[in-house]
Amino acid sequence: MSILRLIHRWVGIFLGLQMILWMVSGFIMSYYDHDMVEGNHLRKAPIRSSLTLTPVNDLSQILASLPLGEQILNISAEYFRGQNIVKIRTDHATRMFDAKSGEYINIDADYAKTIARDDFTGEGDITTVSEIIAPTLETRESNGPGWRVDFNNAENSSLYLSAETGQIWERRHDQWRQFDFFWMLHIMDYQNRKSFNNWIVILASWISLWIALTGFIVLFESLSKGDFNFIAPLLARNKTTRFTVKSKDGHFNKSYSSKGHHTLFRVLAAENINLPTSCGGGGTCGLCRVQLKPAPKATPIDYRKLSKEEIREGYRLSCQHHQFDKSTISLPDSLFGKSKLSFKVD
Amino acid sequence: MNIRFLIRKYHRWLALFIGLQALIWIASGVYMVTVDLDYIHGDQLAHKMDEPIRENYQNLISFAEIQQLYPSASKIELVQWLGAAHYRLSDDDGSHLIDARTAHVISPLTRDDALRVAEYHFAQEGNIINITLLTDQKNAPSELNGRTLPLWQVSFDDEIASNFYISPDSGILVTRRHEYWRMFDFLWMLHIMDYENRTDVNNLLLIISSILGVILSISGFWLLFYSFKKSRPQNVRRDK
Ligand code: FES
Repeated sequence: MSILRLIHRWVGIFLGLQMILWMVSGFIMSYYDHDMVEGNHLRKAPIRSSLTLTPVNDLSQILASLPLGEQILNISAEYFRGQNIVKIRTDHATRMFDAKSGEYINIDADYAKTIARDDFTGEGDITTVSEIIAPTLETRESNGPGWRVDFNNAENSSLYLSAETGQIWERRHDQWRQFDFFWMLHIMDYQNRKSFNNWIVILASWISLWIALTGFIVLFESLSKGDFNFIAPLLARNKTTRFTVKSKDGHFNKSYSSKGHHTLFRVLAAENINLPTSCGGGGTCGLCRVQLKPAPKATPIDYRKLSKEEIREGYRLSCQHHQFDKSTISLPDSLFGKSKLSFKVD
Repeated sequence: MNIRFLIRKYHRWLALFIGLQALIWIASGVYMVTVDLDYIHGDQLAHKMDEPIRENYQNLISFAEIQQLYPSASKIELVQWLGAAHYRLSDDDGSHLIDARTAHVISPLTRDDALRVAEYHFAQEGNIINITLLTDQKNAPSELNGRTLPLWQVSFDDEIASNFYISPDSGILVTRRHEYWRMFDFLWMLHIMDYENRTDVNNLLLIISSILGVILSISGFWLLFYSFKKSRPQNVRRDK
């Protein structure tokens, strides 16, 4: 086999497998409830507070306490867990202060624990609280320092929250982790699981598109071949086809009749004469060849699998022909073993 | 009957039903992975989105004063808007935008204000060809994905037919849309088979189709494998 065909074959196998992975992962992702994957089912509904803000007094003082050189992008007065706060976002960090006292609000491990406990409505107790310095696979959508709070429940829940603002980043659990694994398979970004604009998936999808398009051409070819023809079988459903089967050496010789519009391959199979096949009647393996007399007109698929000489001799692919009324079909002797007709060649 | 014959037979019918969808999945996937997502989001269209506050707080109206003016405010923000400091606050009546130097209430934005916001943020070549205040939620453009109105729609005459959507209450450039985004959204709809809202990945049609897709791909792979395996001796014999 030439190297090109070898490459072709392996590319085919790899992409065939990837096609299966795309389908399986696509199914899993549509089957898993999205809200559940995001962990929203175990989240306490946010309490809409009707309190009004109390005057912010010492903003100048707070501003003066910021490190020099940071540019302020946003200052806000709002509520945080029932407390009036001032939140200042600069190009370096976000900080929260008590609106009255001007005191810096530090979200330490203990505070993170309380916040997570209040948000989480599922089973289990908090086991560990750990610091997040750089984004991990599970917090890849968020930046800045954070806390990971783990629960000892069956789903292995982990809540992630910002150490700057106390905002819950993510509500992760095993179902999300499974989902994320399939997401990785789907977008083929095996490292960060983030970008579907990576060259592996671009290459794989373009080649798949080419394969799918050629697959469709094959499909339409078989359409014209009559595989999807509804009319011919209907018209021919009462038609009787009579034919004779004999072995080359003449020991076996028997007449048959069949009803309806079926391929010779199928009709013989129904009579328990099982021709060899590896494509199952798709016209691609060429193993189902038989010699007919008289022979129907050869199709392009016959020409693909048989030599001109064989065609002249009346060889045809039995899976491709429906018209063989009054033909004699010669089959190799090997098909008829001692226990007549029950010998399976495949 | 031969097992492979059965696979062949049903693979073919399945292929007819699901094959077209598989082709759509692949073709839409090709587009989505090939066109850069940041470009789809329109990052290149807008700039000066998050600018630092330049004025000294001392010279501005203070938070305390704003709170006295709007005692029911539940959140007050000081931001840079069109190059100057502004207060943006939300109370029972929604959002308001206030000049932080004069306490002048900007919201709701006039057509001229919307034009200024659009021109300020637009980072590409092109002229504004249309400004419309959208208020009718029922007839909102589908490209807004159900965002609440009112919004100013500002259309540009650039090559990719960009639209900016600006909130008249907060003055924020809420979102931007362009041809590549619209194509992405359309193909996403075809990809997840939610033809109504284009958002629900858990719809029954998709679940069933993807199960069929799994069966199709596995049976197709099985056939591919067998046509590799057995066609060799056949070819050798013919080549003689
Ligand atoms: S059965 Fe394979 S070609 Fe006919």
